[in-house]
Amino acid sequence: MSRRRAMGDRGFWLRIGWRNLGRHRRRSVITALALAWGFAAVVLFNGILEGMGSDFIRSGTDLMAGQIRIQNPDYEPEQELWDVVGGEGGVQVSELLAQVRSDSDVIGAAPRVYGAGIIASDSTSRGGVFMGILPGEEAGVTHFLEGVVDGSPPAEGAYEVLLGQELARQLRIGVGEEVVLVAPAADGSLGNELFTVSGIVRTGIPEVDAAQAFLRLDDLQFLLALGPQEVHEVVLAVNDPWAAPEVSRRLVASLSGSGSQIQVTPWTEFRPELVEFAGLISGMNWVILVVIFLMAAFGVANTMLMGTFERRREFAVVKALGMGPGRIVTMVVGEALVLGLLSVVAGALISLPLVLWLIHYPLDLTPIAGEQMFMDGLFRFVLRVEHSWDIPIRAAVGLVLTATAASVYPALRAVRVPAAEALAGR
Amino acid sequence: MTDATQGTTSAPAVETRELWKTFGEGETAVHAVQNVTVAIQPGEFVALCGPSGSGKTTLVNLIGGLTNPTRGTAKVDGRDVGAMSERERAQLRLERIGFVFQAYNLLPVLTALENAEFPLMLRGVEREERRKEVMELFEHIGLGGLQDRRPGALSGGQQQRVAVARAVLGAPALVLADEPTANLDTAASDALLEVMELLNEERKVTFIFCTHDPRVMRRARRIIRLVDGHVERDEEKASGDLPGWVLEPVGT
Repeated sequence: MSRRRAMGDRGFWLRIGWRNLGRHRRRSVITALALAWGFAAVVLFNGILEGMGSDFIRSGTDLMAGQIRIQNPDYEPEQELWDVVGGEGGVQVSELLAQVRSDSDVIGAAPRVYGAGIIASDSTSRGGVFMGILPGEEAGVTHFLEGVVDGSPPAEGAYEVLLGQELARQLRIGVGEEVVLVAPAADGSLGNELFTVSGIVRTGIPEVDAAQAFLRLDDLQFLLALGPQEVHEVVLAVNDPWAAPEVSRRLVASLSGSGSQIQVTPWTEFRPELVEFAGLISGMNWVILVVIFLMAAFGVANTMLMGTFERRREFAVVKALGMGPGRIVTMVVGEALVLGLLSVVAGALISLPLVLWLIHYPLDLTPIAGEQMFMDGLFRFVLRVEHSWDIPIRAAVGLVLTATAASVYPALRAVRVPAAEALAGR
Repeated sequence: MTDATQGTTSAPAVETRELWKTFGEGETAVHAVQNVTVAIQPGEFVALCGPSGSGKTTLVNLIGGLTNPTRGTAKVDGRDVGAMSERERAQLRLERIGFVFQAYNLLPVLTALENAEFPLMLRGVEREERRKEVMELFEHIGLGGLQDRRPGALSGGQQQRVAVARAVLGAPALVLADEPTANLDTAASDALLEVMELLNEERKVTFIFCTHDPRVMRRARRIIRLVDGHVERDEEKASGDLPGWVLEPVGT
């Protein structure tokens, strides 16, 4: 059989499928609409779940952790003060920052220094964790500075400190008052310095708000007896969180000749629980897909079975005319295929406006649901669709496959119609 | 013009041997066809007659492979239909057999033209070629201009003519026609029978009619009368004659 003729035949079966659907228009429309709603539900729910998963990952990495960390390979897990990146014999931190920022996927880089010690006010003292930051750079990587509830981040050259809200409460201290920070330094000495409280911050992470003090990077370097080119960590933000592992590999390759020992770690490694959560979201998406399409399959099978019973005589006739089992199956499945394709079009028309709306105008449910801490991230309930083409494509393919697969049993029933009995009306 | 005997063996077009078809079991068993042995040669024009329930339709269904015999064999072109797989039977029907049903049985979603060309399409005949064949026959049997109508928009006679066109297009070797004129007026019946006679004479198509219609029996050149599933009489005759016995009540 020529290819042209085979194509023509296929058009013939699709035309028969289309016309057969038109015989019971109401039933076909109801079935197609049910399938279309299934398609729309899959696209919408999957999009919302993807958006939610993405928000979880962003909130888990953007608040404080960052999406990529560059550290001395020996820094974790002991976090010794002297295991720094940069300084003598190593890369200059300014050069390192310039190099990582040249990667097109890196949208922000911020150096950090960490220490621990005692914070003392006039009336009391508390143990605390110190973090040296460059507020301007930090804002391009993380969001915790957006939680400043009073005052402002520490200014350059002013010996200022930003305190966690709970810590400030326990120290019974406010903006403008002074505290003394005492910390063991990298050279074994004990550093201490007087700082003015520039602001109070509430990150939403209880352990941070109860113990963290944020200083200027150079102030903490001085307190800990570190050089100006010595940092404990450079945190990066990238365009797409899921690109972090690939960007990390690139950075390892490009930074390997810098002469300094460094380790580049994406969030997928230092926050593995977020990866598991993303896997859970993906699993939920599949469950939704399967449940909805399973329901759709029963709908299609029911419609096609009814059609098969009603058209017993017609199947007997086509058998008598010499139509083989394969072609009878093709005819019935062709009908389901047409139904599936129609449903995809209808489903796209239903879901597209909603999807576009939720992409461009996310529905903020925070006033109703509030903010929740989740996996060290501050999660806001925002109904937002994360748009990716594989969702509607997956749903469309799933729907058409479901419709055709569900028609196989009715098609086999049609093949088994006893021709003589059916022609006699038995 | 294609000769329907092309590609056949010297075997009879149809041959049944001790053919039985029984419905049900035990005391309720009904023997629709009993021990029927007949041989029909290529190019014969045969009328199967007999009262309702005598087994005519069942015999035709057995020959066409639409139902399986309980015992015995039914052969078409020397091939045992009962021993074939469903796929082989479909292929045999497609290539060698045309069916005409009493109730037309056109596919309601197809136009007259699409109904008629359906078997040709299944055979893989090119669209242009099959449409040309259909239109030529349609003109000949008075269906010109009706090709785009669906069955619901055709009269009973027109539908039956489409059904006959569907059965004879592509010159099958054998046409099995079950009461083809039952719903037609005299003029329509004659027109159809002329087409069939022409095909029989020119293309040597073998025709087997189940019929009560004297007009059909008059044109037949062999009449087989079935009574209670078995062959009561089987006689050849000249076309145009109508033996008296075919109209006599059964058993006289």
